[in-house]
This record gives sequence, structure tokens and C-alpha cells, in this order.
Amino acid sequence: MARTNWIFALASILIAAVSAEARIVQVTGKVVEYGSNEAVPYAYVQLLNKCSGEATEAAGGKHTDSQGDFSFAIETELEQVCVWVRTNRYMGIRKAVKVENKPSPNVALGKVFLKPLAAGALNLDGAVKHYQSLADVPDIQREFLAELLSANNSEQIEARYETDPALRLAIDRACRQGDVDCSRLGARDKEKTAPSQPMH
Amino acid sequence: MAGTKPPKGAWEKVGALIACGLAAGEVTTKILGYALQALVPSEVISATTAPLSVAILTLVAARQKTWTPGGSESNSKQKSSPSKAWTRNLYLASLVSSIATLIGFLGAIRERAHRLSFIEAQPTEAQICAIEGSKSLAYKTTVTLREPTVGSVIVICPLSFDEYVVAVAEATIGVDELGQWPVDVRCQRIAPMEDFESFSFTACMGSVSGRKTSEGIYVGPDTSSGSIKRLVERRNLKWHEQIGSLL
Repeated sequence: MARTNWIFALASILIAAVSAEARIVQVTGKVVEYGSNEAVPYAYVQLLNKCSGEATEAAGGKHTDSQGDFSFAIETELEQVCVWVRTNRYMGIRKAVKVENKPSPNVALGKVFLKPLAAGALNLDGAVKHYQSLADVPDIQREFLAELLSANNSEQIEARYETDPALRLAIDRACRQGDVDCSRLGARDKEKTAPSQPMH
Repeated sequence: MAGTKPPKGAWEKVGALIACGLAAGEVTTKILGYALQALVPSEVISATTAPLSVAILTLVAARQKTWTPGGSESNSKQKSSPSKAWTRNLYLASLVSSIATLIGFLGAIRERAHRLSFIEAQPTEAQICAIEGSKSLAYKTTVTLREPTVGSVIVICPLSFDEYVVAVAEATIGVDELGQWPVDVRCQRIAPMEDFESFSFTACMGSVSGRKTSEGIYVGPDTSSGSIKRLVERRNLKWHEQIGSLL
């Protein structure tokens, strides 16, 4: 009896070790608008280790192409991942997905439906990573930033601009290059910096 | 002629009257406050006590036709009428105190209402929900939450057992959809991605039996213990809370 238990314990450790090994996960799908079924181009698809709670980590991400399709491979040892799709104009979506227990699993998400935000409202969470992921399509990247800067909830952007160094860097660089209209942000900036200058 | 002159020592008289009245008013309104506890919260009553007593007392004083400066009822020969100016001043003081009472009352109910969390759900015909087949089953919902909100999850559930929330759309702030609530799959979850005090969304409803009317929804933050801290509907607030939330 004791021997059987021994073997059983050893086997389960072995199985656990094998399943914890990093695998290449292929993630595919298409992002479309809820209601109209139209493709959402250049949305940002990211794999997180979990959908809610603190310490969510990104395993990797990629933007969708001009047809809303996405397909990318990510190396992970997780058995369950969270697919997070974000855009500026739509509500984000977080979806927990089980990864099959085989050497090179596929995660085929099919259609991912995004629901629009109310007119004028803008989603800012994860905007910086999304912006950075668009580096290979500079025109879209410029549009993306211009969209951010034209938001109705611009006080939210301003707050993020103040607290998020990455967003600040991205906006400042684009403003310097004259890629986007920074007049609204610039006006606020001058108001802010003017009174503090004598202190320097 | 002597009878029409302003009474001697009228200042002291008025002062004493107001002081006595204030004390009496304080006691009266405390008793009133206790009696009206169910109707109006005590903090609202305490905000209106002092100006209200002043208003009543100055009004009573202004309505006095005669003054008895001697203080004794038997000494009626010394009775004299207060001057027109005096009466006018007292009426004015009463008016000012009444305004102060009103401001105190409104301020108190406003402050109270601004600590309340509630929702407002209106049935609408949302275009976005048309894809689900029925146009009538949609709710435009405004959530007002006076608690720290970043990192919270908000659950939207149907009131009826044979309905379910199909989708949540048109949020006025950045939110992430988290899909069905594991505890009850008729509910949908959303996670606000920025701090807010109030935001709106449209909830699209579906019905198992396929009927075209809905009994409504309820909304609340997920409490991680598998239950919802259900938010009260605005129309179910008390009358003073409803007025206060408008201010």
C-alpha cells in the first residue's frame, strides 16, 4: 500500500511539473461592434494572468489589424488566462479563457463583441500600452492620440497625464513633433506651470 | 401723549424676551425633533432649530399690540404701544430668520443626500438593444455611488426570475465588461476603470418567456462574499432625500 501511495505522489508531482511548463499559446479571434457586427480595427488584445483583483499581469498583447482580426502567439504556463480587449470608444471586455492542456494549445475566441460607450465618453484604461503597440502603424498611432486629446472627459486625461509618466512621455513627444493638436492640453499646462515658476 | 412714547427699557425687555424664547424654542424643537424622528432626521432639525425659534419669537413680539414695561399685570396704566418702526423691525427680523431657517433646512438635507448612494433606472427604447429582438426591454440606468469606486465591480441583475441582463452598453465612463456573474448567470458585471461619483449605462434585457415588458433591474457593488450590496432606487428615497439629491 505504502508503495502505491509513493508512486501516486511521484506521478502527480510529475504531472504538475509538466503542466506548469511554459507553452506557446496561439490566440485568434475577431473584434466586432455589438449591434452592427462591424469590424473594430486596431483594438488592443492583451492576455492577462487573471481577470479581476490586484496583481494582474500582462503576458503579452497585440493590436487587431484593419479588419479587426487578431492572431498572436504567447508563451505562458498559465492554465487559465484572461483576454482583455480595449479601445478608446468602446467598453473594454475581460473574458476568462481556459488553455487546453497540450503542448501547443489554440485559444480561438471567435467574435468578440464590443459595446460602444456613450457618445463623447472615452475609455482611458490601458491607453498607453495600446498606444505603444501601434508603433508599427504611425498614422493610426497619431489618430489614436488625437482621439485621446479630443475627449469630452478631458479632465480624466489630464489627471492621467499628471500621474502616468508613460502617457505624459507619449503625449509630449507627439506634441513636440506636431503630430497632434495639443492646444487644449498646452493651454492648461501653461496655466499650471506659470504660477509655479518663481519657486524654481 | 405719554402713552404713545416708546416704553422705557424696551431694549432689555426685547432682549430678555428673545433670550427666554430661545431657551423655550430650543426645548420645544428638541421635543419636536424627537417626535418627528421618523419623518425628518435629527441632524436636519438641529440645523433649523435656532433660526426657527428666533423667527417665531420675533413674530410673536411683533404681533404684540401693547408692552408692559413695568412687568406687572396689575399696573395696567403703564401699558404703552410700541412704535411702528419697532414693529417693522421685528417683522423684518422674523422674515430674515425664516429665510435662515429655510437655508439651514435645505443645506442640511442637501448635505445628507450627498452622502447617499442610489440608482435611477428608466425603461427606454435603446437602439443598441434592438439586436436582442425586443426594443422595449432596456433600462437607462444612472448609478450614484459615494464610496471609493476604482477596483469595484458593479453587478446588474433583473428583478424577475424569468428575465436576464443580456448586455450592458453606452457607459458614460470607461468600464470593462466582466461578463456573467458566477453567482447568478442572469446578472452581468462591469468594472469601472476610473473614479466616478455618478455614471450611466444602458442595460439590455432578455426574457425566457419572451414577454415584452420587464419588471425592472437592481444594481449594486459586488461584495466578494457572493452577494450584492443592493442600491436603493431614487424614487424610493425619503422625500427630503429626494429634494436634497436635486440640490
